[in-house]
Amino acid sequence: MSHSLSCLTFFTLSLFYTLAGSLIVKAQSVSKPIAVFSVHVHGSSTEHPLRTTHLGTHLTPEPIFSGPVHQVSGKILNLSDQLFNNETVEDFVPQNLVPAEKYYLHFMSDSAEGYIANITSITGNEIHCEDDLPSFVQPGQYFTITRHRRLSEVFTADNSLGFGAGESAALSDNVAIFNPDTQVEELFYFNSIRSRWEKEGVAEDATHQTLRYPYAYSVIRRTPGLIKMFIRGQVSEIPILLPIKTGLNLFSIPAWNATTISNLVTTSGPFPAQSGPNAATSDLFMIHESSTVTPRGPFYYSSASNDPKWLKVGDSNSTEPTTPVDPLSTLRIHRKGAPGFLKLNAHEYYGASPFFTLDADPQPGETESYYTLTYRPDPFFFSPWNSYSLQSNSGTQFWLELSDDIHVPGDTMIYSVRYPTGQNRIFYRFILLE
Amino acid sequence: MKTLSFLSTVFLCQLLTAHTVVISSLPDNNRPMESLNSANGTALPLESEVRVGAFPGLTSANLIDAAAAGGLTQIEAHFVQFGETLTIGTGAEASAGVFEIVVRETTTDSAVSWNGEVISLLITSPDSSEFLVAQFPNEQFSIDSPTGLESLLSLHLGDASLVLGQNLGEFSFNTSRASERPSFTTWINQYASITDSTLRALNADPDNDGRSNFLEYATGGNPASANDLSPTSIVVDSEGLAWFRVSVSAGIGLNQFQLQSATEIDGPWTPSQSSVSADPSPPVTNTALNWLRFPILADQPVAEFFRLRAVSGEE
Repeated sequence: MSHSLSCLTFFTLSLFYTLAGSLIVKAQSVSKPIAVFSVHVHGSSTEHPLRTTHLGTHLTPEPIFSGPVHQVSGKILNLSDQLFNNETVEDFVPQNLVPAEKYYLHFMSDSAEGYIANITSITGNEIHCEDDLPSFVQPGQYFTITRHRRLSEVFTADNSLGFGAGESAALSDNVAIFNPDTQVEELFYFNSIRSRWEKEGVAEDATHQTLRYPYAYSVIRRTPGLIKMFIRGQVSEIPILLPIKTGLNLFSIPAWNATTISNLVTTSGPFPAQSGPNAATSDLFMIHESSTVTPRGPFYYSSASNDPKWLKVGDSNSTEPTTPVDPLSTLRIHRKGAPGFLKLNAHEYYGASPFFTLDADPQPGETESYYTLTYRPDPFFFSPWNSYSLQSNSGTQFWLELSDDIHVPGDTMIYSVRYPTGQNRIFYRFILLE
Repeated sequence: MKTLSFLSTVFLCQLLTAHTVVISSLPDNNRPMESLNSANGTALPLESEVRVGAFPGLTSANLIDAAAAGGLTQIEAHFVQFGETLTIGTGAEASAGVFEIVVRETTTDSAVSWNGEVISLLITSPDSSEFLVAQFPNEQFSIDSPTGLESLLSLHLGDASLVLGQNLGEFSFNTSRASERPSFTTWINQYASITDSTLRALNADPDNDGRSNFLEYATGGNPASANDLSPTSIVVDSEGLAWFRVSVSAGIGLNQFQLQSATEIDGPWTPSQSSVSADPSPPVTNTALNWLRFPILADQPVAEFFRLRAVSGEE
């Protein structure tokens, strides 16, 4: 099994704590945080006959591989024949790829940090990508391979969440995916006649449509009533290089807790926001939060005078550029200048009050929600004799221990969790106890 | 699972029209925008109102005629506002004469009258005695996509055409009293004594005074009289500075003026680099005229001749 995968999902801490009056040194392996967001998808109303809820989260499936680039040529990236401990790429990559799924490379280091390339196939130690790899992808740089989510994973294959279904997109609630290549929204709906998800105007089964990372997607409701759904996944902590086109661009933001526009968007380095002395010469940014109808912004990075700074258009004294934003936000970028990459940071941000506000879960009159955490410890570390502790974090506090004696009967742990009252986001991590 | 066949027939009639427009007057390298001033040359104060909207179905000539007929009242009657009213200084650290605004309009009415219309800007002085209308001829309002994906337009005042107001150059606009002169076509047709239609052309000179019809129109002259006063003069102010002074028809922002000079009266004529500004000491008070001036060297090394070139931007 792969050490590289192990390195990705676990890291080791040396903790010192007092037990029965003595100082003990213990080694622990801690999983990356798993996040669960409860999202209220509001229905239409007289005031809002089309009600949009943005779901711009960056929670991802667990990466299946991490390794270095050996060679790059055109659309092909070669892995080194020998990776770790004499393992070869053939030892683990193909077997972890499911043919029906779509995967992407996400570069973690150096000049390519944040770059995302979609994979078309892997042959031996060759990874074939959709597009030519840019010149800043160089040998020695590290990347991950992660699976793209599918529409059915988030919105259920049988529409059990209960979105409005009809005979066409215009007669149904829609899942809107913004395609940054064509710069238009693609609409999907649950066809009530054929009982499957379809793309607008295309009578084909789109139930397993890929939700590419980091595309922006949202739900557009034409039916009334509240629908509650959970979005879960691993926290991605890798910056993102967005391929920005002239005109409108929409992407999910790489924030799992909270961030601010000033922390999120880079304004220096090789891929900064385009900035000028006024809004007309700068990239304009707007934030579409899931919980509000009116977008925030527009913001831009002003390079006027000797005091470059983030500004909100129309309110030069606004503190909004440094105010945390909802982690389910979609980032809207308007560029008048030439296309190019824009780098977004992925740091979590523990902002001061006021923290962002999402609808509390459960709402008045609702019953509490239960769900299951499924966790597959890294086989490299796994032993049936090990026990794990489970910790949670609301995003505004320290990690709290929920259980300290979890055993894994098979190779996968299934743990039932009650969603905390009054909470709308929760993070979990497992700690291997030795 | 809900089925929608009956609900949708109601909702489909209601397209979302949320829409955001950003307009800046802050200068940049390509648009060295000067402060927005009143007709007397002072920066527009913070109480001056800035409104975004459209004049559905009206050409710039129609707007000039409307202003001549009823001033700001008539202009406002034709104006369909988009979003809220803002003020000078908004988004510009409360500085006089500049602004950087964002306006957002949300409506479920798909028949909004600004849809498809040219984006216009109406700026009025605090007492509404002066105003300007600027338009972005290549930018139109549009309703949003059926899914409600809002459009956003980011514009710069330096890219706009001034229709009503005082135009002092490509990047310098002043507010002005309402024009008393209507559009050129309406104005020339008021002179019944000019019966030959060819003599009503822009470049015709029916009174043979050396000034074309358009120059008469732009500078407050009479196309049917050779005895009206010259609109241009050279004056020396109390500090000994020399100026080329010109009277222009007030409030018609489409008209642009350029000072040209030559060392021989037959030319060649070249554009002077002098910048135009409002004359703070007009020789007479005439609500139909604004007075502009260009600085010239009082102590010319050789004889130099000056002339005014007026350019019409009217449709």
